[in-house]
Amino acid sequence: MTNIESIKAFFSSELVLILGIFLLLFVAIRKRKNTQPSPGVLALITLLLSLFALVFTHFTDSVSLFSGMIALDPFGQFFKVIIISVAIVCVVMASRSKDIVTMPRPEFYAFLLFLTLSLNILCVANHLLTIYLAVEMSSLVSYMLTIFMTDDSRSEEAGLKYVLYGGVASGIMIFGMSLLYGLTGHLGLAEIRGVLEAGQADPLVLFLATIMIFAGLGYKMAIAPFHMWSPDVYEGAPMPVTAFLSVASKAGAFAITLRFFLVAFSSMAGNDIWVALGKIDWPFLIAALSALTMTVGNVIALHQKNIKRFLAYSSIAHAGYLLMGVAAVSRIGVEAIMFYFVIYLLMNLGAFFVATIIANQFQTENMEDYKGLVKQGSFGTFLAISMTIFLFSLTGIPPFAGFVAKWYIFQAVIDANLYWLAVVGVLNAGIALVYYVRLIKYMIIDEQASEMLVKNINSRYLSFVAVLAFFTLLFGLYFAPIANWVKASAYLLY
Amino acid sequence: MVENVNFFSDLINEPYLTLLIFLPLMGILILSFIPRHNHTLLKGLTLLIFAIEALISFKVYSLFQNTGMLSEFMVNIPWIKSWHIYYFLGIDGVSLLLIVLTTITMPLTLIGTWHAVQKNVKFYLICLLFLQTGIIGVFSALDLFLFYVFWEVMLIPMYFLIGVWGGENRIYASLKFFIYTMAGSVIMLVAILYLYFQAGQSFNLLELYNYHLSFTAQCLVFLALALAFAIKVPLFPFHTWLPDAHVQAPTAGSVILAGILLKMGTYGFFRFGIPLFPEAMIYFQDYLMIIAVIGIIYGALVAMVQPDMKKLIAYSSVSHMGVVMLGLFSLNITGMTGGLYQVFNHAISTGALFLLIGMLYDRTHTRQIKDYSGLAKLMPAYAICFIVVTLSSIGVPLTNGFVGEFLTLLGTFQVNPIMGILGTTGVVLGAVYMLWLVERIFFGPVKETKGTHKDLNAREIAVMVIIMIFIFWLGIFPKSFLTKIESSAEIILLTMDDERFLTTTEIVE
Repeated sequence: MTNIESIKAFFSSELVLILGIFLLLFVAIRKRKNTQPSPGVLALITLLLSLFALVFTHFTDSVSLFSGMIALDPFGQFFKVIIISVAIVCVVMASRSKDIVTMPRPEFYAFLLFLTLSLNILCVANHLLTIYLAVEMSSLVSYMLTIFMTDDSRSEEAGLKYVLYGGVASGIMIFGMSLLYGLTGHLGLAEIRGVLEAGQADPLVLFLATIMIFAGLGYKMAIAPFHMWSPDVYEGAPMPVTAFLSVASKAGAFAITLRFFLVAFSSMAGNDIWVALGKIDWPFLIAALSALTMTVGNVIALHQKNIKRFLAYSSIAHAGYLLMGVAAVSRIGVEAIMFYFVIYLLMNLGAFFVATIIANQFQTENMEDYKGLVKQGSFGTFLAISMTIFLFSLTGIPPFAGFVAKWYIFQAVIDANLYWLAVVGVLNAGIALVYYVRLIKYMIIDEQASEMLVKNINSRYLSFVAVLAFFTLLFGLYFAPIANWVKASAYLLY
Repeated sequence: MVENVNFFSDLINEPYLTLLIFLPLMGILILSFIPRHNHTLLKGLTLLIFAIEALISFKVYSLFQNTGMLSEFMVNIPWIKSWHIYYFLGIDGVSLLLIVLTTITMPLTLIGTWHAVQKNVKFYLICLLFLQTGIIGVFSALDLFLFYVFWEVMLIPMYFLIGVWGGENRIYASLKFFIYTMAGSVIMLVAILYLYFQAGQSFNLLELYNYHLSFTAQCLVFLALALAFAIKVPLFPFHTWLPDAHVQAPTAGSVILAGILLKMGTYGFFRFGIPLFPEAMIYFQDYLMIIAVIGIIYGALVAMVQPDMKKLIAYSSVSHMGVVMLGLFSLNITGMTGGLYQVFNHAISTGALFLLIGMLYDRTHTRQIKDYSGLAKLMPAYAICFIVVTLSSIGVPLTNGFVGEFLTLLGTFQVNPIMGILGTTGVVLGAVYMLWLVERIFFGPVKETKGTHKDLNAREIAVMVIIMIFIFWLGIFPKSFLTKIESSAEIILLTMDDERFLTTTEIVE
């Protein structure tokens, strides 16, 4: 489809976001008056409109837009919904977070929207050029958001690490892409597949190119051994940004990884199964990295004291579980990853929400200070119970939604006959239990660290935590709507 | 619309199991609206719910047909259709008796420990109710996904029961309990998913019964499931979590752990291990019997030297569960019936012993055996109760323990006389440590320790009388229970489809 047609028909959600970004920047440079709408509200409205436009985009067939640059398919739409939803939750989280509010700067929301936009493009990129563009775009904005707590030296350190790491990773990635282009003569993913199916590419160079590109994607997904940046960045960034990076960035990165490997590097064998192309066993490579990632994440998480670092390593471990779905190379693997992201959104953002509230009230990110939270007034009880729900869900214990998500991932792995990976995965779930339960023990079982009561929580925060906890429980018991949505959406433009 | 009618017609026809499972959850909902300081009202309501549960289970018992099939009170409603998950319930004689055991044990435990818990009463009661939901769910689920959900769900309340209201070392014990059981059950998850794909994407247990796996696959999946069940039972090398959990848990926790939760492992072997993997079961039979016998003797020997009463009973549990498993692994109708009967005996006698120790501990705040002597003179009613329960625990004729142990050993002798002899030795050792315990505590010169030595009050005596009625009832008239177990065991052995195990030894009455 040509550019004008593409914009007219299908790009409305992105256009709304772009409009919102300009509006916010305009607000930012003008002198502040009382009549002006607050930037947070403006961002929220933009995101809601964008979500609305996205949900009401009707299309019957998957097509490629902008002359093959972008794919319009149910898979991409699904991930866009996830990313915009995360952005909505994070905007609400930012509206009262001390990390953001103490330095009122409207451009924060513009950056957040810009990041959302770039990740949305990443989900649907169908061409090496768009992929690289979207990865770079999202990385650059992420650096800026990370250093937003300018009075905190951790923030500066994190930003610098992030820039260095990101720069190297994207450099390696674009080198890999150039090798791939040299081998195949194409930049579009589907065209690359055509060349690989013909079997003309040199396997060794192809292997090298794959690994190089995967290094770039792996850095975005924060999987081992490309995860080193993430704990420092997660710790140094403001809490809402950390929350956003840990779910939305990951979702975008997984979407593009799936698309890249399934569209360019495998051909359909039957309706629901793909086979690897080009004589390289990349599914095994991914399976091995998956086992490594979850083990590294879980083992290091055991020793964390800071809640943000704790959640960072836990999210590395979850990236490992998600990679199992990629390694399965099957429709059910794709579905499992999509399902996991819906649930992961609820439980991980919920945990970050509670951590933000505690950080606001007690000025602490130390997990020891969570001791006896359940006894600190009725708000403390509410927070402790919600956090317990999120943590049990992250562990994967029924009746919470995380269990179902994990079940589906393991189902995909066993369907693909990767039994060794399944065993590594479940053993990791056992390790994860130790550190999640330790935090639960702090909150519920241990004696209070301080006599302070949790003060009145902002009602906006309260209702969001309650809603997230409610859905974490509900989707553990009745998940048919999500299962059906995922089943209907697991189709890529091929 | 028509589909919806079908949806719920099952529920309307067979509402009892669903009621049993979800009534406690309703109770939690009601409880959460009651102020936390009104202890009497909270406890009263919980007791009321447990009582209603018990009445429903009696109703189920009276309606039970005893066909031996798993088809009674069957409910089968699609839960998540696209994932082939069903809300599929059904019971046979063994599940029925286990459910009745649960609904009787829970209220008795609550009454027996009425004043034992003083902090966070509301949360404590919520944990108990939540446990009941999980337990009854496990005993009635016939869909493997549903079963797994209930199996895992129980870890949460049990973790809090040990962790919040436990003794000195409760944090360590609760985490150890959690990790051990979780490690077992996640391996089970892999096994269940493997079965699901092998049998053509079905979690339906009755369909899986008809599916024949290759021998190697049977062995691997059996080992994976057996690990989960063996940890829960607990069988010998996996038992180390049990003494810690038992000693640190509050009295109610110990009673529920010994009385009901350990039974889930046995139930798992009976419901899944044996019928799903018959060839693997026969292949591993000798090893499993050896493990069971080691458990019997090892548990008894370790129990003998314990200075702490609760720990002594905990190790005796290891020994008794060994007897249960020995009977089950004999794979003949006599042994299996005896083993399963022993499940109930162990629940009653060990549960009662934990209750009694809890009652004593509430008065004196020590569980060390050396702190007591001549207690029979100070607390005569207590002594009588304790001695009767002890006799039941060591299997003296006329008490319930005798019937179970006798049948178990009889069945074992038919298969493997050496195992039978060794098992009998363990039983004799059991008599030694229990009687020695009784002698040290109750007889000899009177020793005044700290705390009071008030004898049992009316509430406690009432609980103990009910338990003693069961002890003698099961000991003197075992027939009505045995027939229910026997017909279920027969069907399970039939599904093994191997004639050589169907020896027609008549049950001794």
